Amino acid sequence: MMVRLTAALRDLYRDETELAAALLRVADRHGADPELHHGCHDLARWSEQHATDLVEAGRRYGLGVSEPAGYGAGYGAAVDGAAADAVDPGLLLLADLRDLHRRSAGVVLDWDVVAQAAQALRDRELLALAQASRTQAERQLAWSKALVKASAAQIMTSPPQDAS
Amino acid sequence: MGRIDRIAEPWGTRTPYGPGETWPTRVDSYLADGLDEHDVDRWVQSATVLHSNGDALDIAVKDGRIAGVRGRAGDRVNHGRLGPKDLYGWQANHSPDRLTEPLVRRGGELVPADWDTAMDAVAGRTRELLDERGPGSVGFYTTGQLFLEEYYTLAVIAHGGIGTNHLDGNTRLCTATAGESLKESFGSDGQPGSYTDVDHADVIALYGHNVAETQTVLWTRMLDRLAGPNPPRLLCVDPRQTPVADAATVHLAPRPGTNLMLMNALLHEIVAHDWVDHDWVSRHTTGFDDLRAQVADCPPERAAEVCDVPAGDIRAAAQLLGSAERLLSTVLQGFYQSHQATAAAVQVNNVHLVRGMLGRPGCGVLQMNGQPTAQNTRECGADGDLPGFRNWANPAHVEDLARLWNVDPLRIPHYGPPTNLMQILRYAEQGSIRFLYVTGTNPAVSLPELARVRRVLAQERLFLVVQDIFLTETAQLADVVLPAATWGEKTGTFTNVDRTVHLSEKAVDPPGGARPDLDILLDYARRLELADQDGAPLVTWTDAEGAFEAWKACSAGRPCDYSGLSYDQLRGRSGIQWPVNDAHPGGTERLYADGVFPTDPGYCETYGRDLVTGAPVEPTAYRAANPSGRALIKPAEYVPPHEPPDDAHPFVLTTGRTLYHFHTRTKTGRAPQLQRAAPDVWVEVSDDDARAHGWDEGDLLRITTERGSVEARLRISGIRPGVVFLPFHYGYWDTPGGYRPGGANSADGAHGRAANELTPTDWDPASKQPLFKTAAAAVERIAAGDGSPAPAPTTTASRPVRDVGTHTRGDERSLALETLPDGGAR
Ligand code: SF4
Repeated sequence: MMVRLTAALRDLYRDETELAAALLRVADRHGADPELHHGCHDLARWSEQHATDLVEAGRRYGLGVSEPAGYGAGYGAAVDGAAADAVDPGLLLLADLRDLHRRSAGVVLDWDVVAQAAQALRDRELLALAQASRTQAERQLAWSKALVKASAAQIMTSPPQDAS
Repeated sequence: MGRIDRIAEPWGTRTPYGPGETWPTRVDSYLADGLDEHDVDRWVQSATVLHSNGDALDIAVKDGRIAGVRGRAGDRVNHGRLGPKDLYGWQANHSPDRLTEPLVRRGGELVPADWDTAMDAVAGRTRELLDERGPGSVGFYTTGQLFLEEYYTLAVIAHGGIGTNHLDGNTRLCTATAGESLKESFGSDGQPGSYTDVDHADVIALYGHNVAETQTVLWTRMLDRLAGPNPPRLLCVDPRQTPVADAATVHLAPRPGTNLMLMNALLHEIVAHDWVDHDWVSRHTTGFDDLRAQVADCPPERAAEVCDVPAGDIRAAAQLLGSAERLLSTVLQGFYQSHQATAAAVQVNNVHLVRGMLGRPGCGVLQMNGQPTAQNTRECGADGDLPGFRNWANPAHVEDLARLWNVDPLRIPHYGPPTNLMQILRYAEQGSIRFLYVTGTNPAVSLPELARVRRVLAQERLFLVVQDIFLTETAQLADVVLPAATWGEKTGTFTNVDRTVHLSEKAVDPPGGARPDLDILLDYARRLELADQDGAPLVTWTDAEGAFEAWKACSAGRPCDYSGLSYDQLRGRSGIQWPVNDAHPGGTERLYADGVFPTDPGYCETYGRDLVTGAPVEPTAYRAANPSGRALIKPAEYVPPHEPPDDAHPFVLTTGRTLYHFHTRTKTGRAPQLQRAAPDVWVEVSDDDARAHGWDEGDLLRITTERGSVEARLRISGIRPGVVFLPFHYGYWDTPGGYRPGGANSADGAHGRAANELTPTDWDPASKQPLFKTAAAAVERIAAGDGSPAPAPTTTASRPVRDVGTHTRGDERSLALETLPDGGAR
C-alpha cells in the first residue's frame, strides 16, 4: 500500500548512489585540483552512507535493493570520459560542478519528500534519517555552488589556451 | 649577572612565581666580540622577529653595525627575556652573501642591474599583463615577517590599485587556521586572551603546540609557573614526546589526522558530565544544542579506536578540562597543519564557550601565530582578506573601503573569497596567472610537493619577482630579484599573538643598495601610476609613519582598532595591545570580557564557512541563526584523513620545527651558534619501530612518499610508533644543488633533503591552510651509521631515548648574559 513511498525511496537510493558515483568520477578527472578532488571523496562517503541507511530504513517499505558495493568501488561508468578529454578544462570543471549541483539539488528534494511522508506516517526513525541526510545533502549542494563561485571569474576571464 | 650557554639551556634560569603574581623580570642579553654594555654606542628599540612571541628588545649599535641585543625589562610580553634565536640570530644581518643589488635574468642568468632597470621590468610586465589579460593574471605572495606598514601598502596596491583577488601571505601555511577559527567562533579574528593568562591559569591545555620550541619565552613563563607554588596542570596533545609532554599531567599522542575526533570526545565528556556553564552558554552563545547532538556519538571508546589513544587517558584529559577554574588553551601547527584543521581548532574554542571561560584572567584562548608579524598580514589584508577585518561578502564593508581609498567599489574584487596561495599556485600552473610577486618568503622550500612547486615557479611564461635579503631557493628561480632591507635596517610596527603592538626602529643602514620593502612597494605603485577615481595617487604616503597613519584610519571602528596609537606612544614605552581607541586609550588586555562578540551581521568579519566542506555560509543563513553579539558554537563531524598508510607506505609522515631554526634557515642557518646546534636534517622514528626493523641511531634512512624521497640520519626519539618526523627547515641553498636536490655530493641526485619533497598538495577546506602532518610514507635503511649520532638536538623533542654520547651545547661564543631579579648571577 506504500507503493508510491517505495518508489520514492528507490528513486532516492538511485540518486544518492549516482551522486556518489558522479562525485568519484569528478574526483578522478580533477586530481590536480585537490580541493575538488578530496572534497568529492569526502562527500561521496556521505552519499554512500545515506544510501546504506536508506536500505536499512526502507526495508519496511519494501525497498529491495542491495547495499552499495562499498566505498569507491563499482559505481557507474565514466560515461563521458573520452569526450571530456577534448573539452577546455576550465569549462569542463564548471560543467562537472554544475552536474554535481543539479544532482545534489535533486537529492535534497527527494529527502524532503521522504521527510514529509515519514512525518505523516509518524515514522520517527525514517524522519530522523531524512532530516540528518537532508542536512548533509544541502551541504553538498552549497559546496558545489561555492566552488563554482570561487573559480568562475578566473575561468571566464582568462583565454582558453591557458589551460594545460 | 651570570653567563649562560643558551644553546645548552634554551630557556635559561628559572624565576619561579605563583598564581596571580607578576612574572619576575630577567634580562637576557648577548653582545658580540666580547663587548660589554659600556662599549655600545646606542640602543635602538625593537622586538623579536624569528618567531611569533613578540618579545621586546633593544638593538645594540657599535660603529654603525648591530653588535647585539638585550631584552626590554619593562615589556609586558617578555619581562626582559629572549630566546636563543633572538640572542644569536641577528648576526645573519651581517652575512657576506646578503643581496645588495637588484638582479635580472638575461639569457637565462641572473645578472646585476640598477634599481631603475629592475623596477621598470617589474612594473612594465605588470602593466603589459593588465592591458592584455586583466588583473586576474597578476598575483602576490607575501610573508608574516614584513611590517604592518608594508602589508597595508601592499594590500592597497593589490586590492585598490591593481584590483586582483590573488593576494596571500605565507601566513596561509602558518596561521590561516588560527584566524579562521577565531572568525568562525567569535565573528572576527583577534585573540580573546593575553599572555598574562599564564600567570593565572590553573590548567593550561596545549593542542599541537610545542611551545617549548616555537615560542621559547612563552614556555619560560609556563616553566616559571610550574616551578612556583600552586603550579598549573598541563594537558598536551602531540604525537611527539616534546618538552611540553614531559611536563604534562596528561599527554595524548593521537594518530595524526584524528584531532577532530579527539576534540569531539573531550567535548562529549564535558557535556556528559555537565561541566557546562549553562547560564553563560544561554546568554552568550548560539549552537550548543547542535554541538550536543554532534558529540553524542563520540564517546571516548570510539575516539580511542580512531585516534589510537587509551579511553582512560581521554577521560583524564576531559576531567582536567572539566575541573579547571581558570583554563588557558593554546593551539598551533599540530592542529593547524593537520587534517580537518579549522574544525579541530574551533572545538578548542568550543571548550571555552561551553565552560564559560573567556575574558577573565587565566581564561583565554591563544590560537597561536608562528611568525612575528602574522597578525598584521591578516589584519591589513595582505592575506587576501579585506583590510581591517572587513567582510568581503558584506557590500557595506566594501563601500566603506572604497570611500577610504576613493575608488569605485567595483575596483575592489569581492565577487568571491580571496584566492588562497595554493590556488594561486594552481592558476600559475594552468597559466592564467602570469606574474607572481613574492616578498620575504621561500615557497621553493616551504610549500608542499616541492617538485611541483619548482616546476610551476620555473615556467617560462610566469614572470617571477622575488624580494628578499638572500638569494633563496625561490630567488634562484626568479626573473627579477629585489634586495630588501631587514629588521634593524628599517622602521615599522608589528603585532604579536596577544595583540601587543611594538615599534621596531631602524638601527643601522641596509647593506649596499638594499632597500626597505616599503620603499620598493611605493616605487612600484608610483611606476604603475596607480590612481584613485579623481586621478590622484592612490598611495598617498611616502614613509612608514605615513603608512601607519593611513592604516589607523582604515582600522578605526573595526575590532583591530589602532586609531588611538601613535609612533610617539610606542616609543620608549612597552608594547600596547589593540584595540587602542578613545574607549581604551591604554589598550585592551582581554577581548570579550563583557561576553559580547563581534558577530553582528553588519559588523562581523565573515559569515563563516561549513567547517567540513568549506562552503561559505550565505548571508541569509547567517542572519537566520541570529548570532548578534553571541559567540557561535560550531560542531563538525569527523572525516578520515586523505592519505592513510597502506602496505607500500606503512608510516605516517609528519613534519615540524626545531627550536634552533626558523623557516628555511635563511637567517638561523647563518648564525653560527644556531647552525651548529642543528646542522643538518634528521629523521625521527620510535624505539619500537627502530627495533622492529633493526635500525640504529645514526643510520641513513630513505623516506619515500608518492611525491618523492628524502634521505636523513636516524634519531630514535620519543615519537609515537608508526609515525616518522622530519624537520622542514633544510633546503638546498647551502648544498651544491642550490635550489633543488642534487649536485656533486649526491649519489644519484634524486633524493632530497627538504621534507616538503614528500608532503601532499592538500589543504583545509575552511582555512585553506596546506596540510603537512599526514602523508603515507615508506622508510628503508640505505646505510648503517658509523656510530655517530644523528645531527639532531638533544635538548628538545628530538632528544634521543637513550644516551647517544653527545649533548647539544654551544661554545665560548654562545655565552649570553642573564640578569636575575635579585641582580645576581644565576
Ligand atoms: S615555520 Fe612556523 S612560523 Fe614559519 S610559517 Fe611555518 S608555522 Fe609559521
